[in-house]
Amino acid sequence: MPVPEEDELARIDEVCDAVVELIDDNWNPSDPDEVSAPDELEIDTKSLSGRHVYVFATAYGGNPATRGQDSNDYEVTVIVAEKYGDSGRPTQAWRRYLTRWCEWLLGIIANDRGARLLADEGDPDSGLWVEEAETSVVFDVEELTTKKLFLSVMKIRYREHADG
Amino acid sequence: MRGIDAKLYYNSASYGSPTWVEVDCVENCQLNFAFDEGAADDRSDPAHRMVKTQFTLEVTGNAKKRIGNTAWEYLADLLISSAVGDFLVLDGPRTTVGQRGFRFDGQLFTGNEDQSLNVGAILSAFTLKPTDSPDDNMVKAVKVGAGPALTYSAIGGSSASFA
Repeated sequence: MPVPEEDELARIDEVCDAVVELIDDNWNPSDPDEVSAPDELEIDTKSLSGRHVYVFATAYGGNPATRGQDSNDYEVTVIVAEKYGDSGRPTQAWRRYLTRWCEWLLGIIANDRGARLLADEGDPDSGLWVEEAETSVVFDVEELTTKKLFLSVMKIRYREHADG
Repeated sequence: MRGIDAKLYYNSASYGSPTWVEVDCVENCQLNFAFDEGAADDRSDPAHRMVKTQFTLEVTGNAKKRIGNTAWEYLADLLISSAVGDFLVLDGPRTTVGQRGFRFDGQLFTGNEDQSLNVGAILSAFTLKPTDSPDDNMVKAVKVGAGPALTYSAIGGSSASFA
């Protein structure tokens, strides 16, 4: 197996980019809203404006699936962050709408019946499907209370069978 | 030897000049080989005596269904037909000297599938057994010899051995 080239991406990064593209295609955010796959996360709650969706690579691994293919799992973490922009305390209606929006987002990126991520055209057996998905933090109570920040965290594990 | 390195091949050409195609969609595979036992008691010995008579050979396992995969498409058609396939089952690649197994003309008898909601990839449970073939080819013991090249031996004689 040759050493990877400088511009070659790890599969987990390809998966992150594909999730970003999927979110972008369905949400179509306009500035200051954005979706990205950064390497670092620093939310400046004083200046944050708009809704921000961050996609991170968190884990990957695999096992043989058949004699010719491996079963590989890729886990991504998706964080949704939005600061309550009005004066006063965040309203429950605002928070609840964002929870509903996150539910919609999870339905997009964790659609078990939809098209597979990174599928090769003409090969119905290719690409990644959703193996497991959850919203592990519906909204962070402490962030909401102390910083008026809505913060939700989702984890999605994708799986593919790839030639070994 | 590791299970993942064991191989099942089918011949896509003629018996005398085979082209072996690996069935790489196999998940798990079991090679069952057993001689029947015939009683051979007589008064010379109070111990029961048994003798080998006929043997059973069966290759069972699960194959992952893959549209467009050459081997899978071959098995799918073989399942619903009365066609006879020429199979080679080895404990390792046919390119590694020393690997052993069997060659037989066989039919595919089963294709059960679990299509439950929690199933990831659908697997087809297959059973291959030796059958009558137009050329009446007997089941052969196979060993990968120097070259590497497949060498064949008859099964059952008193001096039978992997060649």
